[in-house]
Amino acid sequence: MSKVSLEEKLLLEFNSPNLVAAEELSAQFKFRPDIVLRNENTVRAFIVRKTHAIPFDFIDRFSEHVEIENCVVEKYIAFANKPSDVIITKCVTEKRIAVCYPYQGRINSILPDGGFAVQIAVAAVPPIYEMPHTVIFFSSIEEIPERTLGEKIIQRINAKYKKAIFANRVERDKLQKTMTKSELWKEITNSINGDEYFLGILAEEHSTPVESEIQIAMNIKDYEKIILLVKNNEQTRNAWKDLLLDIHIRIETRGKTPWYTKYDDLDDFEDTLRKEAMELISKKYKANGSTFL
Amino acid sequence: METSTKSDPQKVEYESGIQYIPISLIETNRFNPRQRFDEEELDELIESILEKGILNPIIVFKKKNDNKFVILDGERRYRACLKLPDIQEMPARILLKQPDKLESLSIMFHIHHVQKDWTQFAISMTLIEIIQEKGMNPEKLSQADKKELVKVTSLSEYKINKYLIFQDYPKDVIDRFLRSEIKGNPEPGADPDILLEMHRPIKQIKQIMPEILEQYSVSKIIDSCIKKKAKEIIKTNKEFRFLSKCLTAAKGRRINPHRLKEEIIGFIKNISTTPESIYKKTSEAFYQIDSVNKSVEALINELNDLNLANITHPDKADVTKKLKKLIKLIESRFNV
Repeated sequence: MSKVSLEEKLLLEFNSPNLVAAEELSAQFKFRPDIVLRNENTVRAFIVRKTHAIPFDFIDRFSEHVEIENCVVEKYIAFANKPSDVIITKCVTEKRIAVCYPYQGRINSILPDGGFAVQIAVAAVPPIYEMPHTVIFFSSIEEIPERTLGEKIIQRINAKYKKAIFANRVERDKLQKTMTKSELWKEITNSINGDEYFLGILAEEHSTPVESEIQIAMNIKDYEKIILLVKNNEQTRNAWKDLLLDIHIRIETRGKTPWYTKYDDLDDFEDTLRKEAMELISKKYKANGSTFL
Repeated sequence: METSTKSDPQKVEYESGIQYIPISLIETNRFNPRQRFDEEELDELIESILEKGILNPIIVFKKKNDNKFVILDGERRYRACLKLPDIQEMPARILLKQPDKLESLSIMFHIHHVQKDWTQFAISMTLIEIIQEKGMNPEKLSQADKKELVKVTSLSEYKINKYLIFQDYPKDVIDRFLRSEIKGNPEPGADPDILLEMHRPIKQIKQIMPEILEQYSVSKIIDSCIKKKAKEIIKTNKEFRFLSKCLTAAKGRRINPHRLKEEIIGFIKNISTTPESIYKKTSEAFYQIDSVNKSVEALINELNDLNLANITHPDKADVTKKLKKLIKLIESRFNV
């Protein structure tokens, strides 16, 4: 005799009265359920787990849904075995999500007291999150394609994920103002100091001002706030050998110091910088007590 | 979209830059063999996406005459995103042209083999598909065929042979191991290396005592091995090699094949019978005598080459040393 799956058992237990599959409603939940059934006035949504555990983030998200007109939304999390008391409390008491699990060949359900429709008491003052604002100072030779591409990557992350992250290319300000050399350096130093992150891009051609910017950043910024991307070829290694040697010596002698990541070509540069930028904003969101998504 | 290209070592050409593709336009790949989609790993991935977004773009190709994109790498990330309706687009690198079946298999093979997220059986199944797609016969691969496969898959010849061995087993055996690999909790004792170690003994049984296989299927033999491993009656896979040693001796009629046959049937039927116990009962004495014989023969040959009437002192010392060594060997082999 073939073994009845947990999904099949759930359908046998809950697929009444007159409930029909309503997969199109699954996107109404912040965490997509595995099974959705509905009739005129009830929607039943199930998450089916293969174990007796579930991350709390998933429970939080599953508890949120877009209102479905004229329907009471009943949410269930079905576990392969009885979950811990902590999970049961979190689901049933805090989030009004029913918990089910197989027990002696049947499905045992723990339903929220008073039913699903009772509103959860909402905290009087919802937390106010401050939108983390991130600026990255771009340090490289102006003419290299990585500089333009880097800015494009940051702009796309800003647009696609709606995150306040910006690239600071000082040549823009420089074009608008007339500055002496010393004024320009003061401006650059202030920017390096003021912008939260520093991105140094080293390609085939050496530049003394860029090297100076990187040295300034290494002296005044926290090493975790510096991203150095170095093109992975002989020409670049030769052009920047003094700076790279300095970084190696710093690692040997000072321990915590910026390190560099090599990239092979523009695609690799895009993957690497995108990843670095995503990581750093997610870190900021976490520190802010809010979530990335 | 821009179309400047980039070549990777597999000569895969991508459209320039990472594109963002609506999830509704993404499809899974039908050539992708079953992967491990372990719940715990998927949970971790969902949590990582919630925290950091999708860090690595997926790899897709655009279908001809369709606006859909098919995944070559990133099905797990795609499945994770499906659980999060807030995510409506995925970052992706898009191949310049739709690959044919062989190219598709080859690209997936490289990606997943490097990432080690295909099971051994998934690799084996894809390897067979590549072999068939190339018009080769998996049972009669020439040296040139193997060289070509090494090139296409980046697997070593040793690994190609290893993965081909799996395909010699009946489908129910393969399915049992595959299920065990894919399920979150693997079947105790179902170690794929059993199939590698038992391949030779089963081949030998087929040659010299085929009647065993008429009575007991390969599935039954493997089932017995799995149970012995699960109960730790057999601790290491190398122990299975004792069976091959016994069968080799039986093939040369150096030991009684009828007795060995009874023992092998006992091995299949009884949980407590181990390959080592069979070896000790049937073949150990033969191999010990064989080893002593070889030493004696070598010594006799050396003595024949000597002129015993005018034996020099160093030669005499050498012969004495070898005789003493032989005595020690006999003492150790026969517990004297």
